Amino acid sequence: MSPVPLFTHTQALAEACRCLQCFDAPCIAACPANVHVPRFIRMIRSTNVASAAEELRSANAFVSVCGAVCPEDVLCRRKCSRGRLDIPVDIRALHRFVTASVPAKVFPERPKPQNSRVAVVGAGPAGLGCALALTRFGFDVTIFEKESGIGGIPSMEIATARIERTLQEDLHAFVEWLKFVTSKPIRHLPDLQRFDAVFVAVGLGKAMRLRIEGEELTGVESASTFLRRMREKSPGLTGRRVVVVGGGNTAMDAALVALDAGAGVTVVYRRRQLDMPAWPEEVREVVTKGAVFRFLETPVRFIGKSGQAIAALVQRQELGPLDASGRPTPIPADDPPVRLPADHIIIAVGAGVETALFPELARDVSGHFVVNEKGATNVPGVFVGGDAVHGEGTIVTAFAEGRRIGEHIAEFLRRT
Amino acid sequence: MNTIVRESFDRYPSVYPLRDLSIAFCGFELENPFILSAAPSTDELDIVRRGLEMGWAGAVLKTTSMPGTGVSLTYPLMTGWRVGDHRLLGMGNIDLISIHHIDEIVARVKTLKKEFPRKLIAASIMGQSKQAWQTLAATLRKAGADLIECSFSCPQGSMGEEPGKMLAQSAEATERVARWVKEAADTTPVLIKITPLVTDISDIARAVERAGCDGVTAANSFPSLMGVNLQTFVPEPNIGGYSTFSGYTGSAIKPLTLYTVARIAHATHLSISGNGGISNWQDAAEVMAVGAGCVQLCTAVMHYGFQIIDDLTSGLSHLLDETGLANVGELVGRALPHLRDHDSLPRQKVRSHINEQTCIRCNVCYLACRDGGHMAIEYRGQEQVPRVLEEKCVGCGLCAQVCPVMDCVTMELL
Repeated sequence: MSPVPLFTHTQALAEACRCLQCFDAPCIAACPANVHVPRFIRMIRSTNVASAAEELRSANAFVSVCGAVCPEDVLCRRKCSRGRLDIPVDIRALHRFVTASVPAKVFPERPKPQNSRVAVVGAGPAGLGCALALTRFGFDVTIFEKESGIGGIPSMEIATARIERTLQEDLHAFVEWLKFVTSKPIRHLPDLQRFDAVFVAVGLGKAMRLRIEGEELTGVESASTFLRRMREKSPGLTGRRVVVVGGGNTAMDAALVALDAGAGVTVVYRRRQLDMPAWPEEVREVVTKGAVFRFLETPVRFIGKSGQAIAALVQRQELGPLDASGRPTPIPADDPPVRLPADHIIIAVGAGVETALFPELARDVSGHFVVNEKGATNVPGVFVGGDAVHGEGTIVTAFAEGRRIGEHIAEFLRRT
Repeated sequence: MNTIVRESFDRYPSVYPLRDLSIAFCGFELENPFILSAAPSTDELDIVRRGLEMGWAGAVLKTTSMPGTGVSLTYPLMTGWRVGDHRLLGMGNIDLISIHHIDEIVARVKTLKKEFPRKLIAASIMGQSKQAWQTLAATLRKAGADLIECSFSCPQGSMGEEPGKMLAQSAEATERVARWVKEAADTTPVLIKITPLVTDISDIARAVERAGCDGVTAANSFPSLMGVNLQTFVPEPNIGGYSTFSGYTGSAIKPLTLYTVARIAHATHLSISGNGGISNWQDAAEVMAVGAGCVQLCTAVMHYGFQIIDDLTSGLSHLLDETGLANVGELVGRALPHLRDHDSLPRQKVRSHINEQTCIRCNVCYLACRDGGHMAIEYRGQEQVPRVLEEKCVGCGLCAQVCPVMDCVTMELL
């Protein structure tokens, strides 16, 4: 997703003055991290931008990323009271103005740790949210990360150069607060016996497959693999005719990256446009950049030549009865499948939690961990949060959830 | 060669005729009540010409003085007072009188009277002695000036009784000097331009009346300090590491002008030329309604150009239609009978009412009443219209002022 426009100081002041400074402002509740929007906007108005940045950074460690990619149209901005008067305040652009104007400021000296030790597994948004909250409360936190870098999906798969730079600055701001053990996969609870509590935030490490013929061909890969590869430019885009399968955020990210690399992109989605989980803003951008969408179609076979994918056979779908999500179930139509020439096929049909991880913890039918409202699992002292519980969500939601569960873990440790 | 670009409305006049906006002021028949103040806009012949051509009814040429009078300017002259979104609400200046002396101004008065016989051509003067005041006034009378305005209030000048004090800050000095000027001006009308920065403006106005002058120009700029730079701690404007006080003008001072004009109108029978913070036809009509027989504009013209005359005249024309007033003269002083001391006001009770249809549930009224009123509004959640607690609402009206929606919160008479 491309970044929102960067306001000049004059534009930011003009927009900030449109904020009504509501009492109990609905934007605060609509922000998953509960950023105090009227307060940071009030600070912009008095040109106290440094304090506005501190306000934002205190609420969300991924602050610059959220200023650039947060889906405000479905979050804070949708609830803005000003929208009932004329046009809602462009909160995200103001947010971005603040983080872009003020360099990331290193967190002040961390609170002296208490005796209780907490392990956090996964250095993505949920893990960092939890670790920061617990450090603030004075607990001794160690974060284990299987990759060599921290930041999780936003670090590895959100691809634009600008976001990456600001994200690294964001992460650097508090890196002194936390103990990281990187390149260290933790797969079982017994590995963590010396800790008093554990927060598991392993995300969705297993890309879903279509389970169709030809998925093993060269040129067919998951969106996650594709995005990581493109970020490291190894080896970069391999095909010119790209087919992206899926209609979620990751599918749109993959389509954008392929478009930006110069490919022709066709997005194949088995449902209708209005059923897409991707945000309208992302879809609009993919369309604007020239992608062709094929709705109500799904691949049934990938065709190869000497082991290299050369086409996808797609089958038209019809609308069936409503499923659990309230959307019509796609049902294959009787027509013969259509052949789409493609030398690079990217599968973005969702991801699941790795099957073998933490066998001690209960899972539901879809493989997500089962937790109570405080994030606690069936094992006392072990908590789970983020995508590993809810499936694919936003950065800010995962971070805020980690933060919230951190508070519950603190409460648990104080009791025991 | 400086190319003058004409505004389009000049070439494409409205097909709808304006009402007759003429009004007599100090015996002069003005085509409308809008005059250009003594200011930069009236300090060059070509600029004044353009203003008069565009429809202004007259101009007070920038304050002139005797030959040899030093005018030692230092720059910059202007400092803005801005609010949140960089909007310019007020302007401070450290300008002085015109660098053009009386000989030049006399020539301009003659030229302008010849080119614009129906416009009011006035000149502003400032002297440093009885002889100077009288020479300036007599010279202008002979040159055919329609009106003489006397600057008794330039905040930068020290031509008052004591250094740093304005002439119009002393009733005695005001009366004495005003009498000299009127003697020399004879039948030519004389306005004294006062300052609002006095303990009681009525005393000063009565002094002008006793001196036999025709009227006042009120309320003028307000002495002010425009700001302090918090990096250098030099106040604004920074003049080589030092600063001084400015004359404050623009929208921000309109309420001060209304107060001053109303006080003078109550205390005297003087003609009043209202100025200070008038930016549009509503401001102009309000100042006239509290007693001004015409109005002078300066800062609004300096900001938006002479073109604002189209809004001034058309707005005033519609106002006459809507209020049923026969002419602009009927507007003058129309608000004064409704103005009283607080003690003489009728005692009434009102209560806040929130329009549920237009309320946007921002709850700004709740917060204001909770922390700055009487805790008389009940917060009922983000999706609910807040509710006025009738038994607790005293009717202060704070909620109606802070509400961002027009006419959503109203005060209802009990």
